[in-house]
Amino acid sequence: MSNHIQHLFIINRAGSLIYSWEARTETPEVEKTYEWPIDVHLEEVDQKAVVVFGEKDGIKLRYYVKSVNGETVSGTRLQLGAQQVNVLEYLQEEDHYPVTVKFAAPTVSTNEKIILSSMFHSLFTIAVQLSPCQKSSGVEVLETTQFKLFCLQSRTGVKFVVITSAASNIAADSLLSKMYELYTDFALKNPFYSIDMPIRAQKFDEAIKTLLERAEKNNGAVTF
Amino acid sequence: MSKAIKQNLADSKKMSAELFCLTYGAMVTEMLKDYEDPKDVTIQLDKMGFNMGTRLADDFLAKNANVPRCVDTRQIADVLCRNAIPCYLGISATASSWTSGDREFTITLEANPLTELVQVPAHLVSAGLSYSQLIAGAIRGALEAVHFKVYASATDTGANTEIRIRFDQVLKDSLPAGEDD
Repeated sequence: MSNHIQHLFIINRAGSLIYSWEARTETPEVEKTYEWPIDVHLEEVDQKAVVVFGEKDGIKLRYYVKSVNGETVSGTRLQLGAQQVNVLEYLQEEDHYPVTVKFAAPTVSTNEKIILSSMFHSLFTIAVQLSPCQKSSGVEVLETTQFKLFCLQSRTGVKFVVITSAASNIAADSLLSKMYELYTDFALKNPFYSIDMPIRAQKFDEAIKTLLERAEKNNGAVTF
Repeated sequence: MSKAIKQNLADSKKMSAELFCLTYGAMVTEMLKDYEDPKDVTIQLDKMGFNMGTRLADDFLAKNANVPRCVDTRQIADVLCRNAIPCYLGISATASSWTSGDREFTITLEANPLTELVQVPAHLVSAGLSYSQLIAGAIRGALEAVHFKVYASATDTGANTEIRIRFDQVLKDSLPAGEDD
């Protein structure tokens, strides 16, 4: 079955991420052997060697260098024996060719999720303030060519966000309402959970997993 | 209320009112041993109720999507008496004695399950113990979670419990985006 539901986020009243889930997907990787000079343009972006031009052979923009000749690259550092070299500089030397480079598609780190959550929090507030009509809510649906984002904000200010594939016609309202109920059951009713802190509860994880399995089967219309 | 996973989460699992009453009673008597002053017990009951209330508000709203945002104290009283109190205590409640420009009102709980089997000694009441203050604290906490500041105090009178609620203000600073006018 196809995965319609790609991400879940719960954002607290202050805009901090307190829970996230994402569907397990294979991160695409591409390996290729190059002759001098390399025809992919690389630059350092967020401490990684990233493709900024020259898409071909399955290697796309924003992909980053994962390994060189089988040696793992950490950030932009390539370990060669006891020595560390900058991978960008290494690939500028003709003496090192031919060279085999493995590229991987970008993934969203935990830190980036935290940043994106607080960005969405501000975006939500801006939507209210810029509304041409009075008594407007914040962002409830956000659509792009590749995904849809649905958001439910509780009366108390907690935001529940689900990201689905663009083709999905999932009943997101129902899914978000159930997520809200599970939050009240497994987070708020846990006496050792502090409100607004990250949710680390195995029972909550399991309940979310069950909910998502049902949602995928019933196109989001979850009636237990 | 404890809850087990079952097919329909929307249906709250019922629990014995007597077990609830006994559990609460055991807790209060234990607190009376821990604290020397019954006034301190009342303060702690209110604090515990407040903590419960901040969480119960979300539980209530998650299961009652049709409850509108309140823009008036009469509306608040209506939601409490018609929906919230019957939902969690299984009893009916009425609002009355409106004063101070509708800022103050009394919620009367008929047949409070917490006091059904309880005879509070008179000397404890006169020393400052409010046996059902936990409910008042829960109301205060729940309303604060939805951004209303109120003060609440409980008085047990025979089979009834009266909760006097005084509305203070809307907590504008903590209103989420889209929840204000």
